[in-house]
Amino acid sequence: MSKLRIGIITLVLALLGGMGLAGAEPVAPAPAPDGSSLEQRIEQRRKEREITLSEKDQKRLVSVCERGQTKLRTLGTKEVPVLQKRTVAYREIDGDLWIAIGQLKLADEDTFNLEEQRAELAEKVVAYEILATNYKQALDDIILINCKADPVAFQSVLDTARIYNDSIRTQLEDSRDYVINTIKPTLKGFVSTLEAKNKNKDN
Amino acid sequence: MDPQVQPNSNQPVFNQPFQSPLPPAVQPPQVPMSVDPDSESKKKLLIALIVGGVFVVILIIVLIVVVASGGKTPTTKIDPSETKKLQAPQAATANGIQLNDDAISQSLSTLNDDKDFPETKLEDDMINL
Repeated sequence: MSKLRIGIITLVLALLGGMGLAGAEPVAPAPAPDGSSLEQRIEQRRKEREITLSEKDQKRLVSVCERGQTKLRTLGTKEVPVLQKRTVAYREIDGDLWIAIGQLKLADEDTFNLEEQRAELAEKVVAYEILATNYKQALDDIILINCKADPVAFQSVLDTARIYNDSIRTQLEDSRDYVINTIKPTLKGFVSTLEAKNKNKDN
Repeated sequence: MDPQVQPNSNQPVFNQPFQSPLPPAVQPPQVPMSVDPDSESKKKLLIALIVGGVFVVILIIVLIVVVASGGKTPTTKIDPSETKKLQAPQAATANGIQLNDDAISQSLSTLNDDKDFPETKLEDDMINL
């Protein structure tokens, strides 16, 4: 193979590799280990985000981070009932599904699909609760960081909280869609079946 | 004078040792200190009667107190909303499943995810950065 060909192939591969890196998704934050300290979590987020701040960005951040922390402290307090509301609502839905399954079994209806759907929804709710816990942890950590001394740590944890906020929204959207587009139609199907049975009995 | 004077003599009896006309008192036989079984059992019976009587009196007092209080027994009020859960499960009906479906819709309607988790929630300008 000529040197020219080798050079062209190397260049193409380098370009492709560069494009791959440029389009790479940031590393999704991993749940913080149970019992981890603030320092351990900060280091974890720093490694995950791999943020590099220019001198200008560092100066700007140092000048405004404390008022940002004040705002985030208020936000963190307000988030607790907001997150809890979702947990309560989905547990109520889970309870309603259990009741429906029990009653349908007594009516000799096949509840296999509904049981699978209930289990699927329960997994989605667990995923949401893990995200909510880590999101709240990030908000609690960010107000404890000495942002003037370590603006990179501040930015890393803030970016982590932003990713969790987006992930929670996506997860909730997914759970809601699943209830509306999968579980409710199954229940409607049972309503129709039972109505038909009732009509046959009357006839 | 002869100090030994027969009682039947005509001479007065003076300076003679006094002889009681009564027969000497009979001393009761010296019995050793042993318990009388009859009196002991009587004592036990008496104690038992006293204890039993006290118990009966206490019982009567308790009965009087209970009757006087009107015989009210504490009742626990059951929240009507709990009644549904306390009832035995029933076979599904069309209406029942429809109610379940409505309850699920109701739970979802309390959530506004777009409002509570907007994309811009933690943007720089939203948190004064």
